[in-house]
Amino acid sequence: MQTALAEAALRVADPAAVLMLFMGTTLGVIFGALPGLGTITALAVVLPFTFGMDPMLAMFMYSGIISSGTFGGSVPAILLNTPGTPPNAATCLDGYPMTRRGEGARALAVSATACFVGSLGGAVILLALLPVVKPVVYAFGPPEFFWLVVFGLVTIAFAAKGNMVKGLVGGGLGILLSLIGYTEMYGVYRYTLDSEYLWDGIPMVPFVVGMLAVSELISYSASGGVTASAAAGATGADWRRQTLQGIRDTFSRPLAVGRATAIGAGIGVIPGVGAGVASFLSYVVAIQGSDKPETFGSGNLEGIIASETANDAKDGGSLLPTVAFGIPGSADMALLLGAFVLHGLQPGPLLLRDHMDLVYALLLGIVISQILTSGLGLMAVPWLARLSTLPSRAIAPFVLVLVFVGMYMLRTSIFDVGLAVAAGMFGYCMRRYGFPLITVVIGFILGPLAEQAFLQSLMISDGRYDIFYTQPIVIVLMILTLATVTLPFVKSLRRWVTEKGTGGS
Amino acid sequence: MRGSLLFTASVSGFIALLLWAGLGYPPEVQMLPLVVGLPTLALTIVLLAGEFHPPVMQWLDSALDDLWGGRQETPDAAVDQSSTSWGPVVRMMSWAIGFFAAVFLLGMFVIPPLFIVAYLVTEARMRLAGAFFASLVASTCLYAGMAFLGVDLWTGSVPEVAPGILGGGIIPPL
Amino acid sequence: MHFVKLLAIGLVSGALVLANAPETPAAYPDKPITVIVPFGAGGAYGRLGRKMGADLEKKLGVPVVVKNNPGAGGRKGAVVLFKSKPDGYTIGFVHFVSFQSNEILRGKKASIDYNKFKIILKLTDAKQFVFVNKKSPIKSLADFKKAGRPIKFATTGVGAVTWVEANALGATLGFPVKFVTGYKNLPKAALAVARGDAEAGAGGYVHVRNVLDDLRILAFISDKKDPNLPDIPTTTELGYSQLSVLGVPRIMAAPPGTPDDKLQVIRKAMQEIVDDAAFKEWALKGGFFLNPDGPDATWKVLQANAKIMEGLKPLLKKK
Repeated sequence: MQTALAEAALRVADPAAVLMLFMGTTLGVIFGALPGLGTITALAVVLPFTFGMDPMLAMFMYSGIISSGTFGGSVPAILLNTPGTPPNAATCLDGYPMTRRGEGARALAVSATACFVGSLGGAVILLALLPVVKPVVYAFGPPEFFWLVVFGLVTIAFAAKGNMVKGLVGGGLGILLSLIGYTEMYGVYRYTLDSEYLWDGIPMVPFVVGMLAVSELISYSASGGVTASAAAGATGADWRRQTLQGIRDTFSRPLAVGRATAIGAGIGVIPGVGAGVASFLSYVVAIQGSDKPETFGSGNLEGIIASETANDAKDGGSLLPTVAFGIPGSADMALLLGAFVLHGLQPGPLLLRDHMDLVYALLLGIVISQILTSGLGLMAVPWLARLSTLPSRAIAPFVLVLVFVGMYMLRTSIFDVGLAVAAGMFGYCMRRYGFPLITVVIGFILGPLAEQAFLQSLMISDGRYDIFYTQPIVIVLMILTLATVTLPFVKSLRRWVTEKGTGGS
Repeated sequence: MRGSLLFTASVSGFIALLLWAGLGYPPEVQMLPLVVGLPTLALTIVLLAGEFHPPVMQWLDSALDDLWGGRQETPDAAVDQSSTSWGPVVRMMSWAIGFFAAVFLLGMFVIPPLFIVAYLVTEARMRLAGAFFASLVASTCLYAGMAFLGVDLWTGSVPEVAPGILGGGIIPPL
Repeated sequence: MHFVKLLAIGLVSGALVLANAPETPAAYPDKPITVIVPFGAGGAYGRLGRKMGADLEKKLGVPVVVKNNPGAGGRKGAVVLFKSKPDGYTIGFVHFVSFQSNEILRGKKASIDYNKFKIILKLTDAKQFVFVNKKSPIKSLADFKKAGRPIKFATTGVGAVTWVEANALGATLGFPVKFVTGYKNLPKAALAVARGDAEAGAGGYVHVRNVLDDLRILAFISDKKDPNLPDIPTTTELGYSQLSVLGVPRIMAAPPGTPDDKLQVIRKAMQEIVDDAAFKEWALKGGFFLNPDGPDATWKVLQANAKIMEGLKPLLKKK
């Protein structure tokens, strides 16, 4: 094992490897930052190039892409309220309010630092769990998935606070819209109106990007002005001070960071739970663990830490079942799996035995690329943050062009572009009439996962519902979920009781 | 006020339509639409009632917040929408729709550079030379990047004029 | 890259045209060929397309551009191929099985008549093993019936290939079949069987490879053995040869109306590639079951497949 590690480390020093890492990182950041494009598209685009390349070099390229996409995606989430990739949506909740307050640089610095720690933590957890991957993967079946996803769905209620009825309507609407499409499980076309386009359902990325990015675009270009009027007069020194502050902010919260890392990596290890779950779930847990839960959603930097750390730690986690088991932990890992096979490598126990150097190369690549991403990112933060002081009308056409090109690239379907525009107009109306958009997005991402896990569980149990509360892991997850929902009630109740008590005396 | 009533009513109607359309599906396929759709429909009806009696809605929202862990200052929405009149909004939406229609017909090589210039000049009140320069820089970066990555862009649905650049795009089945 | 290639080939062919313009009719192929893959880049079709594209490029001496056009279970890319110019410069995979199950099992007519595609060559067959969880008392295909109870199969979805196979097994061997559906892909379905979500399942060697310890493999649905697991009997050997046609033929085709002489050029090149030892080794490693066949034999297999699906139609009505 040591020799494999040494071999991989030697290869990292190779100029060609450094070049590959650098290219992968650059590509990952750019694709992550462009709304709609993400790690998956970046991997798909480079796959043909790496065909015939030395596998080790190709691994460096892939790892650069995988680890840098998340930070890239958080940049527009924080500055423009537009997640670069769907899992970055939870970052908008607190990142954008900070930008509006004029603290864009601080938020970006928190994100860069959180991504770095998350990535490192994810890699460490991967190495630690490598020997026990099989029981972990075997332990999570449909009933366990179900409770995990429900836990994530609880975010809807937290994101809806202050506007509960509209927020819940939004969540419900999101779930309903996500159900459109061919249901493979029963072979039924649900709400497809005989359309071939709707066979695959409403495509997630164009929908999410339309709802969040295009609607934001409409709203800010209609009202004009700049995003962060509070920071209009900020100087370079101000932005740099904020950046340093953001780094300190993250490192002074080891508990929050550690928790988010564990959640992210844990979710990543379980194949098929989906990228959205990790960041939303981590966000809920952060609210629960905070002594000021009411400040989340209005610019609490712990929200960014929770979302971004988990998001990045997830990559290390999902790499685990992919390399050790040949079962992809997420959609981008499925593509990576394809890339492995393309290079004549068979992920699974044999890969660990014969090609451990490649696994280490991938891991080292991820860590080094993350250092690159976060380091260069932090240097760029003071400049990036200035975007928030540009007149929004001058930014609009560029963002719209990027959205158009990105949506088309994804599946080479011109109708996806149209869908993003339509979703944007619908999203604008929701925004205008006070519906929290993020609840629609959460419902849309998690709804189908919940349905599938629920129905699969019932198929396994032949229709008996006790499958949802008899296995040990299931019980733990269920109690956690129910506790999360009821805790706020208990708090309210306790407050009332004490208020009454003081009132009576 | 009227706008929000209309919007809430359409959302409510849409959900009702989905529920109605789902009636013929097998029970398993119908389950989640019902479980989620019925409560959501009920909530939209509460919202509709609130449209006519706004104080009721305010009371309900604050009561729910009190019940569920205490109040929270509402995160101020991106830009305060209600203060913007519909005029500039419709204008912006028309830009987006028009841009899409033009791209659909003439593709992603011809339209985006023109769109950037047109938008910057009319909306951001930039001078023509400046807008032209900005568009040139952005387009060059975009097309160089796409060419480097080997990505094909949409060429427009009009009959082929210049292969790979303008026209000849195959419209996928809708 | 496509751009650069186009430019280069444009310049070269331009120079050629100038050099000897009027006399010789342009030899086919003299410009880049596009291969449409109707699925994503990392999947089996994507890998096969990529490899075939690279080898064709060497063989034919013109650039071959592989384009992924995923969506609608492979049908979106097929429609694009169908509507492309039939000049021999656009070819691609057609996932015929998806059209068939869609039309026969789900009663949805496609917007194109897929029987009009010009088949170039069937390259591989995705054939499946039938397996059960190792703890199951079932030790052979015959035991399925002897168990005297419904057997639960893990599968991706209703109408999917493994769903058809499980039902066909049930109908042929005479045992009732139940399903746990909704697994994203076949490796996950195999994992589900290994974990015990369902008792039985079907999948290729690459899908079961990593969970082999927890599975018992009963048979290979094919008339030829899988070189990866040569000890497993085929359905033909076991006396159920009517099942052996099941599977996914991966077929390279061209738009309707493509001239036959051009098809012949590509067919010959592909046949030579498939027969090449290096390609064979690559295929074996990647879990591809090479089984090249010309258009006539391929259409026959597709018809046999359709007939089995017709036979399963009543099963869907019953539910």
